[in-house]
Amino acid sequence: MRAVFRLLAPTFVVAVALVLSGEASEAQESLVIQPSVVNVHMLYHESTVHVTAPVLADDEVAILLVGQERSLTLKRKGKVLGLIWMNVGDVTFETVPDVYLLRTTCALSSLAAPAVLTRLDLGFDALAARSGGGATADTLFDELVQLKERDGLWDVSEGRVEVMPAGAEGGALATADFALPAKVPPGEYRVLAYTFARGNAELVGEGSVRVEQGGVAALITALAGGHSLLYGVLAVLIAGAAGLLTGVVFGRGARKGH
Amino acid sequence: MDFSIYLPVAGSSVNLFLLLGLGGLVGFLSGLFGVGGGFLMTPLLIMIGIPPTVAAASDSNQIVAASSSGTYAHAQAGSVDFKMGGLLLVGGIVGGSVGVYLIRMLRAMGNADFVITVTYVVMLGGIGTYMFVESLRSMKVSKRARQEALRPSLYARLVGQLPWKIDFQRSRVELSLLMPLMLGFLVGALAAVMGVGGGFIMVPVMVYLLRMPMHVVVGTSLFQILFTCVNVTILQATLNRTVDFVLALFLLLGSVVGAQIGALVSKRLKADQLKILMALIVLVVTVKMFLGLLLTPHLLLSYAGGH
Repeated sequence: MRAVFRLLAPTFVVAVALVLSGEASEAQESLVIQPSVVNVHMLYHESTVHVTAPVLADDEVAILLVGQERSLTLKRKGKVLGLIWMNVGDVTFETVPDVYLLRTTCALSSLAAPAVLTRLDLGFDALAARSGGGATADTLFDELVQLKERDGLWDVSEGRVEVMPAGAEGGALATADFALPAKVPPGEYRVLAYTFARGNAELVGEGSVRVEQGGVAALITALAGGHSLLYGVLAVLIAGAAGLLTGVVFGRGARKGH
Repeated sequence: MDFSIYLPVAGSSVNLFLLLGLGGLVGFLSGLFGVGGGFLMTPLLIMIGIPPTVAAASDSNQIVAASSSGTYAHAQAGSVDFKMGGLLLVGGIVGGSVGVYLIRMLRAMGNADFVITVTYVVMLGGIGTYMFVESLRSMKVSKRARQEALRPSLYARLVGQLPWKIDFQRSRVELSLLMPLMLGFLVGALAAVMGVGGGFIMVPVMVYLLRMPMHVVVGTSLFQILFTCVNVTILQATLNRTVDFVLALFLLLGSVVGAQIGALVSKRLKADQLKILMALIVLVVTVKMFLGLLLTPHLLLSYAGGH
């Protein structure tokens, strides 16, 4: 019965999503991700990506939105002369995702055994286990989590996946929202949905969401990256002209005032 | 509508009015005291979530606007000594290059951060305290006592011995060509080590070591800062690609207006009042920085870059 449902569910999910959104959206395998492209424009602050996955009503679910894995070097503070706090060196985490947003139906510890969660990269403990960088990096992993959480780039929210019955045969739809702040770098992000039943995990859907700069924002980034000298000279000329113009305007105002 | 603006190079979004307000505040101080305001603005930008490297580079860009606006206002009022400013600038460029080399050497030795922090606190604390005490004393003493104090000191006699004297008419001083060159070199080197424009070091140097009148100091300092920041902005944009023009634009919209108001207020205040106000601001920044060194930080990790 599970197999039949899983076969039909994607079509059903797409149909529901089309009705809800009123626009055509291409199914990314069995997940529906809306929007699948996030356009970062000059007034962008935050965007919510809505993910829907086909599950069974009694499944526990985890939905993960994860970015590229990179090496990350940060400054480490320490006490000097037993008195003053300052940067005392660098610490490098060899493989950590730039964005890691996880939503689950229940507490992570209730989903599966720690070994299973580690294998699937679910939870900060799983990330810590393979972040690399040696003993210093290991002891500072909690600090890295706090730094990333502050920027809204890493987040594990338990109980933030809703499962609603849909269709017959015990079928359901699991939904989760992911807030993508402006600090999320442009790029492709994978979305993975897992179900857990009696301690066994199963990948039930996989898709992606693309974050890209558009309009003036894209133009400025391209100019700053591709024509940096021209960009620097223009930045100086515009700043200088704005300063002089204000000087002239205020100068006239001051003379009129006398 | 949350009035946020996206900063493409910084890769974050910030409230529009917050940027205008910060620009206005620092621009006001710039016009008032003749400082670029980098020592205030860069930490404030980092505090609101801008990556440190982008904060420092974009701040240089906005200082171009504030200082050109302020220089124009002061030039119109006849309070820019272009001759003195030019010589300080030449010394500053050479000193800045030496400072950059010095910091690279210290980084290779692994103790650059310690040297930068100690230089920062000592310079800020020393300058702030000296200016505060000196201004307080000069506000108290009588005119007669002030005239007595004008008798040439050992420093003045030594400076008087130096060759190649030039008459700096705007500043109403006659000094050796070597003085602005050497002091410009010293300030340039210190500024490069500390990663700032150097206005807050240059102003006391002009007042106490070059003996320039306060109203000429402000305009001349701004003139020098303008060229320093043009150079830094182009270098940062080309080498590090860390100049966020959108960030600089909204800061400068606030700062050019603030700089004009600062320049107007500057004319209405007495020299001693200006000095004591600047001393207080420098001391507040020093105390804040000192507390930051003593108190356990909220996070032991931070992104690389900045001061």
